[in-house]
Amino acid sequence: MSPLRLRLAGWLLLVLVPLWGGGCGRPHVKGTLAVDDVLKAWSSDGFNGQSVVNVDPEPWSAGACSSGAAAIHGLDILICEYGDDMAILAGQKKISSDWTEQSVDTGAAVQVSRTILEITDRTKADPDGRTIARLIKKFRDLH
Amino acid sequence: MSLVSRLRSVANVFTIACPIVPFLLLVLPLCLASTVSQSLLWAADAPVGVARYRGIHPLWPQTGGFCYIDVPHVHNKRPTDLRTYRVLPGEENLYVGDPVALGYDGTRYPYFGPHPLAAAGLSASEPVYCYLRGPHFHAEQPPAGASFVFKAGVYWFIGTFLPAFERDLYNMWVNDAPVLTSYEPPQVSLADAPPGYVQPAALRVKPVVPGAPGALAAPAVPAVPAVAAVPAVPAVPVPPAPTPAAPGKKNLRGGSSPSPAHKAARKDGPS
Repeated sequence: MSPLRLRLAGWLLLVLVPLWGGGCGRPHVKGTLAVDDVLKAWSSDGFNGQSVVNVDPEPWSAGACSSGAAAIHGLDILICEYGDDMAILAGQKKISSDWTEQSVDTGAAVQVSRTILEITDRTKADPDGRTIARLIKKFRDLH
Repeated sequence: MSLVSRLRSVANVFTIACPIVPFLLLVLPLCLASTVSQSLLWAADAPVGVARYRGIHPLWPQTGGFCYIDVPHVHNKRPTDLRTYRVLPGEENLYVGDPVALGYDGTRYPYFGPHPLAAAGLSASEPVYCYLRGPHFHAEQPPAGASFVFKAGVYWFIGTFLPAFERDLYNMWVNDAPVLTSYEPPQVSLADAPPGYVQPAALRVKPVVPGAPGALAAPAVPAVPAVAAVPAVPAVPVPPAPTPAAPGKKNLRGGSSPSPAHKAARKDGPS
């Protein structure tokens, strides 16, 4: 291969690899429970979390967030990973302020390590909370 | 290298890259779009009107439906019968009644008489007490370290009640809350109490006046013999100890009047 071709291929890799890895993959905050591990655990319990996708973590002051509307049995799912405790407090505050009489029927948030799981039922999809309780139990068991 | 060969090299590179670039152009906007649309879901305005709950609790209008979320959570509805709740710091509503009496069909533990509650997160130094007089169920085992004895199929609290129990005696009104007509409490009476079991003095001399929350009757109701606590209902198996009792059938017929068994169970206070 000629030096020019090698150089061009190198530049191409330099541009494409970050786009490939950082643009569409699921980012993870090192040292805390990963979203992928949560989804894997739920999957083993029969819950399909495929529509829980990577989202902008900034509104929740998090390092990484994934969410899905009506993602599992009609429930909204948000999972955020944090790097420090101050950011967790800000995230909790944001979640609390998002729960309003008009916007939710049921809402629950739990923390394992520095990862917060928020489940919101906006459409009475889980009127007795059994699905929410199962999802939360599986999440807490990962501790 | 000639100009032609150089151009050929560049063309080769683009030949390799071409299948990838359109793919990226297609996928990247999708990723970004999903980010934006998901974010909008949570962009609600601030007015807070939700009620906080500490654990499991009956659903509205308390005719058999139950919420099984056993961690702090919120609903857009407030408790309907405050006699069966305690409001904790942070405006959290903790259900303190008998869950089975209102339709709960999960794991349950049988108790007799008042005792400290074991809900997650409650302080041992400032316990929250259950004020149910007779046999009843809870979804939690006795708190670790507390003085309970398991006898005749139920847990009996034989420890010391802190002053908070007397101070908050108005919570006895939980005994006046309705239960499902099909509810059957544990079949046990005060006569089955273990040695050393002493009911709080307040239960024996200060009955609550129905319909007057917080008020205590001025002359005490005449004492009822302990045997009166035995409910006149067909016997049902008492759950084995110390494992949780098997879940019973769920009643969805509803009903607001106390069952004979529960009424009888309430009479066992004075002794």
